[in-house]
Amino acid sequence: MSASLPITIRALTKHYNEKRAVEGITFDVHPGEVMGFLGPNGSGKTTVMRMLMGLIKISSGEAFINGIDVRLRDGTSRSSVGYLPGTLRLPHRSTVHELLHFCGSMRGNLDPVYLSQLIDRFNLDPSRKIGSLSKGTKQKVGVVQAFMHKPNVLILDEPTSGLDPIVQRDFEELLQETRNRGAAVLLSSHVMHEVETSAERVAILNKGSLLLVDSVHSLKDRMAHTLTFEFNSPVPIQDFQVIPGIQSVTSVNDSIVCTVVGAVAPALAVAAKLNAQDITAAAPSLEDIFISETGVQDVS
Amino acid sequence: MFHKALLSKSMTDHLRGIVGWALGVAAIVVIQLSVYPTIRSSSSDWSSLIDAFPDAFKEIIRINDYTSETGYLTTELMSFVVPFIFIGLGCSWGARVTTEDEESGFADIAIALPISRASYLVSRFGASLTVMLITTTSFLTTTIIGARLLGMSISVSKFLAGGTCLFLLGTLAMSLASLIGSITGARASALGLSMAFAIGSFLVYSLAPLVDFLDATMPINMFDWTIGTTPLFDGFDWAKMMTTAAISMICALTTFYFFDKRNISG
Repeated sequence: MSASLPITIRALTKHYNEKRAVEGITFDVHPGEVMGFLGPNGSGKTTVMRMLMGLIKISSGEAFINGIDVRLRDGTSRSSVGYLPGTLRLPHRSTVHELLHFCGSMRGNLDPVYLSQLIDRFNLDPSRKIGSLSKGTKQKVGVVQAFMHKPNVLILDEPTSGLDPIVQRDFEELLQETRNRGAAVLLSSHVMHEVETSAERVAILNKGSLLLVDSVHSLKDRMAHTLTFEFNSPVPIQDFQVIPGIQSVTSVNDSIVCTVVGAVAPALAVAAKLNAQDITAAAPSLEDIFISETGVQDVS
Repeated sequence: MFHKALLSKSMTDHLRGIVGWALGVAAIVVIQLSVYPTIRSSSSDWSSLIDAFPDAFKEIIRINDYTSETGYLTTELMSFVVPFIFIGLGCSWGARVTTEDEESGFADIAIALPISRASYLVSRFGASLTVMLITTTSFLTTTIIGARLLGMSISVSKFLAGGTCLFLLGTLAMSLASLIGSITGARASALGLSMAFAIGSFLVYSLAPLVDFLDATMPINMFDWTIGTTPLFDGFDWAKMMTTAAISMICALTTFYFFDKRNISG
């Protein structure tokens, strides 16, 4: 068993009495990898993450962080984990400084220099009371507490929720740096662009079950590309219908619109032979993949 | 096993409340002590008045030699108000031990830190016990100094026995509230049920002298184990004190069991 991987999950199941929350979840996250964790609301992503963090008990199956069973009572599996919960609620009486130093003291590996760099990077005022901060600023505090001890595993549940676009970009840069130093990241997000730019692989959950785990690249290859060819005059649609991998072809005035799975070269060759004047190609987005796999139209 | 940072945070988050409880207890002691010279100077009138009370009433409020120093302090400080301040403090802080972070949502950070749930609870119990100790110290300091200023001759040892009884009563309420909180995860139910239990026990304790079958339950009554030992008259009753401490310990250990199994709500 690959127990020494940063995150190993095997047949992870959670039932609340008779109600199934998640069942049979199995995947790994490798060092230096960002794994996108997708699924509609209520699909079980947060449940899996909270089981990894020991907040809720595992009904069956097993999970390891850095090879340590997360069910161990001593909490050692979380010693090198940065966690940002999906619903971040911080003690409003504490100042930013007090909260971050509390987390550092509890973990026992506070690096004041790095912490100071993160505070500057996210433009936080350490003397401010948490209760006086905006939602976005609280989220920045949450991000800093998750990254401040340079963990080699990050479990991030909707990390950019409430962040403005500039801070989202700062976050993506920090995520990139963290991955580059070899950390593994499990990233749940409804921002498909964020997952698409950050993650090498995605795991998609729906109704408590794992639908797929695959690389973003491979998933896109499996999805249909849409090609639109513009001609000077109408062309025979049948020439395109016989191309291998073509799923559909429609003719609109002097245009041909076809969807292709796999290589697009044969379609391009036919279009070139028919003297196409213009070509537009639309690659599938992660959102298309998500909708295709889950059947859920509303991503957010 | 014990996290100073967590203990410290648990206390500093409620610093004003801690100061308030300690000063409140001290204020009640000062007020009651300040009345005693009047009682002492008109003791025969007070004795006549109290003798006129119906016997049943005297038994319910367990009034005993009211005009003496010990009788007065027992009635005014060790019968109702101050014990219930310690019970209120215990229930409030006990409920916090197991429900505060979960209800506020901070448990997703605090319990996800690389510590065991047992050490989390030990640190939170540590904070609550420290608060109980501070309040007991406030009570004892004010009582002992006040009694000396009024020329009372009650020994320090008996005051210490009284303070210990109040501390143990509060600690038992605390461990009971934390146990209920570990099962329900809700502060309101932990606080409400533990207070209801304490009030119910007090009613039974008060009516026991009048009702035989209630009197038979005294060996399992938290008030009989503590203030019922009349510590200002009789000093330390080690057996009953140890019983109270042991029951508190059992409640605390059961709290560990339930809290360890608990799914923390997000």
